[in-house]
Amino acid sequence: MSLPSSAPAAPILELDGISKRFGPVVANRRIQLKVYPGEIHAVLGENGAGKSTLMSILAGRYRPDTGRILLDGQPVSFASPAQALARGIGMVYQRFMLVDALSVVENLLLGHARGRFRLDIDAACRKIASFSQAYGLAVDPRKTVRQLSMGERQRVEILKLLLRQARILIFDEPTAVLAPPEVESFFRVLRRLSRKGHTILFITHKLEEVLQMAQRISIMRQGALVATLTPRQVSSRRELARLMVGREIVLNVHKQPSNAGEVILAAEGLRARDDTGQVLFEDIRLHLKKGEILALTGVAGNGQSPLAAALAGMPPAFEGRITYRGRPFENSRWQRRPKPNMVYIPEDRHTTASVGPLSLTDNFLLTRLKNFRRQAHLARGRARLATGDILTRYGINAPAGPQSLARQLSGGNLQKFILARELDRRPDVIIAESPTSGLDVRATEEIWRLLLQQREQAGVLLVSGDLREVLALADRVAVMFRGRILATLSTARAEQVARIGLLMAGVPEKANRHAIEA
Amino acid sequence: MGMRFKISRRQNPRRLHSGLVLLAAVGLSLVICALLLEQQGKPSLRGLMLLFQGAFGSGWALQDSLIKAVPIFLCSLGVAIAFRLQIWNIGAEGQYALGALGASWVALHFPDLPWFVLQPAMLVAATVCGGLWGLLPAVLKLRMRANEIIITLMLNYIAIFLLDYLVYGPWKDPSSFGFPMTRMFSQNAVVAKIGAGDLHWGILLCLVIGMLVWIFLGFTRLGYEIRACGENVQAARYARMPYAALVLLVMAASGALAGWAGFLEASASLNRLEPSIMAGYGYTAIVVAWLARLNPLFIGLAAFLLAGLRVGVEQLQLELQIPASFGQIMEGLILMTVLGGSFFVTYQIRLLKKE
Repeated sequence: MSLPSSAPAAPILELDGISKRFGPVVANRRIQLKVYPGEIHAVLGENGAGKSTLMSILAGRYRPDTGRILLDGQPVSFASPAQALARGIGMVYQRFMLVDALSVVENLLLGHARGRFRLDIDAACRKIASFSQAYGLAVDPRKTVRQLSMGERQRVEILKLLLRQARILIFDEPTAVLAPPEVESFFRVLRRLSRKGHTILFITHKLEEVLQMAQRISIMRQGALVATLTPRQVSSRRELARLMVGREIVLNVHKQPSNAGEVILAAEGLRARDDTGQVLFEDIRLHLKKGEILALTGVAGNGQSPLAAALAGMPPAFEGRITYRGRPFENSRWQRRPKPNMVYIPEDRHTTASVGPLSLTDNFLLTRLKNFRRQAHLARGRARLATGDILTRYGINAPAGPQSLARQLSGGNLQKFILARELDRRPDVIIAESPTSGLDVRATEEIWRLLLQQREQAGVLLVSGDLREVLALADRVAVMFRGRILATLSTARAEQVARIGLLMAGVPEKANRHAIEA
Repeated sequence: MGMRFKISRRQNPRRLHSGLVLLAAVGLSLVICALLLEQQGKPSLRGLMLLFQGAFGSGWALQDSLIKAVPIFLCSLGVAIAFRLQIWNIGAEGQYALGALGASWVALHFPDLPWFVLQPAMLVAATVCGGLWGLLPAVLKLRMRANEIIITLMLNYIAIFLLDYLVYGPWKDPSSFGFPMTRMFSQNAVVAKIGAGDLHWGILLCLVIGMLVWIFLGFTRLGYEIRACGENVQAARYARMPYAALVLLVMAASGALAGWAGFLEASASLNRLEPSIMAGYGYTAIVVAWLARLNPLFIGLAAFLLAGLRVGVEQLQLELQIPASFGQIMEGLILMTVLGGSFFVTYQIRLLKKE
């Protein structure tokens, strides 16, 4: 393998001190990065490490707060993705930007057929065919996008960039949506693009792909670029995983050892598929005891989210059995059963757990309606008092008290409000999904403290991909990969904690394949 | 150097502010109307004065506006309930037609029942027919994911054709000299006038149902659920609210209220069924619902204003030979300026000076 980094070539692209904040969250911190012409460059990192933000800055979707982008040694500034593309930088997003109802050729002509009155579909098809041929991107230009597989759609996205003469192609998690054989053919396309002089940047959290494909690897962690290496400099996957996950774990909350009681929620042989028949999770066996926090962790998209929803009695429908307080339930009975003592805090606090344009009182009623009605009558006055009460007790900052609209609250205050609403019911099971994502340090600590307090009288299932959070709160950790729980580990034992990162990355364990039930 | 705009969402939309925007919008539509009159070579100021006088300038005019406001109010109340759930019922017109059909069927078949049996029976028939005509698109939406806007709109045409078929065919009065109309209803089937004037007791029905809907939407569990589901279906599913049942409920209620309008119009205003009953109240109702921001109390006010507009335009027609469609143009202008104005309620625009 030839290493472009060893060649004396000048970088085609250079990032110099790029920083970007979203409100209180620092997404990118003084990033320094050089990319050389024709190389395949992987950007590796966990969810929330800032990879997508950085790439979106390059592609003109966001503007950096500070720092410079140098293209061919010249400083550039993009106000829009169109401007970046005009300078030869294009990005393929994780969610494809295609119009499903239109054909491939129509999609490729979108925004590109300007200046001509007649739309010459045949000529466009011929042009596409020649590009397809040259790059090995087989796709029928007359087909409707809806009929295409994910791999084919990706090829259309690549063609879209190539037709606009992109020299630098950025891919956001390109293999996340692909089936294994499609991954292979995608890699062949990448190599061919690179041979033809295109520069490739791709975001991933999959270690194998990085070692297989990349000529250079940049690793991001918590918004910072921590290392740039060649595959030869990487001694093992284990080392790569360690760099990605990091070792320093800051414990901001003081956790007493758990005092676990009886099993309150258990699942046996749980399995579910999505609408297209893809397995969401399978072979799930877990139990949650009163008085403990069990973390369900993994890289996003490995089935934790649908599993948490199913356990909470929401879709997807599952096969298998859930046991709650000693009583077994099948899917339909579980979904229909009201669960007054079980609370679910979904990840999406803005559009699932709350309604932005409604007042906090009305948002409080969202899940507490049963306590505030007599027949048809709604006791809104009483609900307003109860809302005011939790605002004071939980220290929630709301501009107009219970009458504030949910969307006026900051993310941290809204999340505290949602937690307060649910915890005030004195639940015995709490399922909380990424409860601190996007929150600043102070709000995070307050949420953590609230969850730890709940451990006294409830079992808490914490669904989180944030290892810092998992280790700060959980007594046990179940690691999910591709819909399965690979192992359940104890956070009290250092040698088990060390394995979490590798398991998350799907690295198979050679030494000890048995799941440890702590 | 140049100027740039920055558009951002208002953090605290103010009541007063949105009232002012509403007034400005209506004012702007009046100005455009004046310009249109001017462009036709008509005296614009006198035109607007005539319009106002014709609508609200005399006891007779006020009474006429009030009578016309009844069907608009009921239809509008109905669509407002559906709009609260963000179900876009454009079918008040057809549901109104079906209500008139149902009431007429009862009136024509049981003319000799005493009024206190006959009129409630007509009301029930109007409720059932209008309600079912509203339920149909709701079922199609839930079962086959059909778009309710298109279905309700198409059902309007079917309802109108059905009404035409009946009054041109089976229900035609043999002594009508070929005119498409039914026999006159019996006296027992006609909602009585209040005292000596032209106002009928339907007004009272409007007041009562208006209050009930106001209470229902604002102070009951179902009213709350409709609002919460309408704002955010995802959150409603999370809170386990019965979305499908709510869709059926609002469409049935919506259709039933439009049906009541049809009943009152056939019984109290025309005393029979004839094609002229289709006067576009169901579409005006949509304008009214938006003007009133789906608030039942404001709907009463807006229905009265737009009914006045209809009455006033008749005056304008007589005095200035303005075509009848001018009223529809005004209605459309008001809706457009109000919808455009709502942008300024939710967003604020700031001018940025660029150095």
